Amino acid sequence: MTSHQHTARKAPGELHDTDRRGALIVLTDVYKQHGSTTALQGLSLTVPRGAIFALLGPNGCGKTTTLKLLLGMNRPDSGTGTVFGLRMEDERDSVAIRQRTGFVSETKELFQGLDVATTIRLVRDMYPRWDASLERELLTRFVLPPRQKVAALSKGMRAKLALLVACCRRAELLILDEPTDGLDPAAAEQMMETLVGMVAETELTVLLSSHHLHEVERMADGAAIMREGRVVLHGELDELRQRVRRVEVRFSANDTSLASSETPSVIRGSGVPAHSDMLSDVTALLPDATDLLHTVQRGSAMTLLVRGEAEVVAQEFVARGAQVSVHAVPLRELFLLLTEARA
Amino acid sequence: MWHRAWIETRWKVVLMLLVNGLIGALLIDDPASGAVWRQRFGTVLPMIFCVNGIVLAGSGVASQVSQKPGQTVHTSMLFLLSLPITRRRLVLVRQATGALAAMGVVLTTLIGYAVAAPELRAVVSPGIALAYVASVLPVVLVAYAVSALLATVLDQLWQTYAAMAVVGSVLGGVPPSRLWRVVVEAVSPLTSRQLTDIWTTIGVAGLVCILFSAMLSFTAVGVVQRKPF
Repeated sequence: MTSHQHTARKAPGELHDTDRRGALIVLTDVYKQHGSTTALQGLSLTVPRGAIFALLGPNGCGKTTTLKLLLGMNRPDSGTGTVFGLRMEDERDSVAIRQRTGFVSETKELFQGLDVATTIRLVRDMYPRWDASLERELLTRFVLPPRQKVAALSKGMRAKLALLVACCRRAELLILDEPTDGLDPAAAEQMMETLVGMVAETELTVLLSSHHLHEVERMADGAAIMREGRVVLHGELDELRQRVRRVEVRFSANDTSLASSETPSVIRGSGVPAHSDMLSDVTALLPDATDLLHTVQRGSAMTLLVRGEAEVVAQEFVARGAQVSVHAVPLRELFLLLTEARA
Repeated sequence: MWHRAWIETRWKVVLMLLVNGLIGALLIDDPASGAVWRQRFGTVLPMIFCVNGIVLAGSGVASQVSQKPGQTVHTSMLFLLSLPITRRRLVLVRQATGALAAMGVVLTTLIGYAVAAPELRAVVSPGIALAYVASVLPVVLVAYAVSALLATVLDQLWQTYAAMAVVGSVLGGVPPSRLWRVVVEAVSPLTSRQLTDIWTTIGVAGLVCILFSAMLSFTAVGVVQRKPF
């Protein structure tokens, strides 16, 4: 028997006050329905200033919907959101947000039917703080042909042009939807280098959605893993690397305490069913700063994903006669564990 | 935004002028047949101008985004919506540019006909020509506005067909749309009484058409403002 549970001791919409301090983007308990499809269900998210922050998650988990909400392309059904302290649901505030934000869509779309130079000129006219020297620098670096029609550019070249017009407006926030998707490795590398360089040199904040975990690990400061329209894990990557651990628990073959529990109880405070009294006992003893993010149970073995005092959790199981090992969790594994289909 | 909207529209305008020029060459190929001219200028040409307006309103919001929110399509709409412009302004600028382009096509075409065909100038007085233009333009404006509204909810193909069906079905029946036929029929010198009647009718019908077009445009703005992308 295999069971998967995603657990968090904080309620989905709950954020610590410290999370909000210095935040550029704050979304609180946002719901969005597209027809019969629920795109977001209680999404809460904070993005700190001056960081590269990644939204991770499987297709259809609500990443793009989240980015569109921030840009005022969609309105939430309920919940609130602010960017630069401005309300994203308010049309006037939304225009002000877009004045300070650059956006690169997944398809790297720009004005249709125009050439590179005209595209740049038209966008330049809308932004009084346009950085002409950066424009020249990026034009040279990206080797963009000014008279080439945008429609005739490769996806990589279109991505570079989209990044150029997003950056040269001196945006304080860049929102990038799958920025390196469909790009060859060289173009993706150049794009990442440009982004990292700009964040290092300016106060720029970058919020990107991506499937490319190795890129996120290389460049992002923080990440939120989304699943089914809500954030299941959120934090700085360094903190996640240091504090999230996979705890492998193995019971002796004749110990039936795990498998014998047919009726799930509920882990205290998490709202998640526990399939054994032992797990329930252990989670009841979790220190305050420790979250049980995920459990997978296979017969007499159990895998726990713990954020915080994993050693304390391990000791509790050892005290109950189990064999326990604690492992670091790469981002890729974390992503897969938290986003895999519910059994 | 005006510049961008014009750049998006310009090739359609050029193409329409070329097509209208070819149509004009066919329409005015027989200088002797004044009755045929009247028939052509009274029915064929206004219909062509309306089709011009309907096509110019194409590539609207609905054809630029997926009908299923959340699905990604290759258009410039998301890029446009990411710019610091309200949707109201975005739609109104686009509609105003298209409406001006539609009227420009009408005027340029008719001026072109008059310049290219001296025999036409000989038959139609400047007053009648002006009344003809003044009676056609508001109807083209309505055709454009109907099409532009439909473009917010239908993709380009369906929008064009639906707009043609709507406009075509009313062209024959509504008094303002019959006006140009009256004008075209009145090629002989008009009495001042007839002229006053014609201009009064044109004025009232034109005002109604302009108000109706404005109402359709603001409805289109409302539709786009509520539309999820």
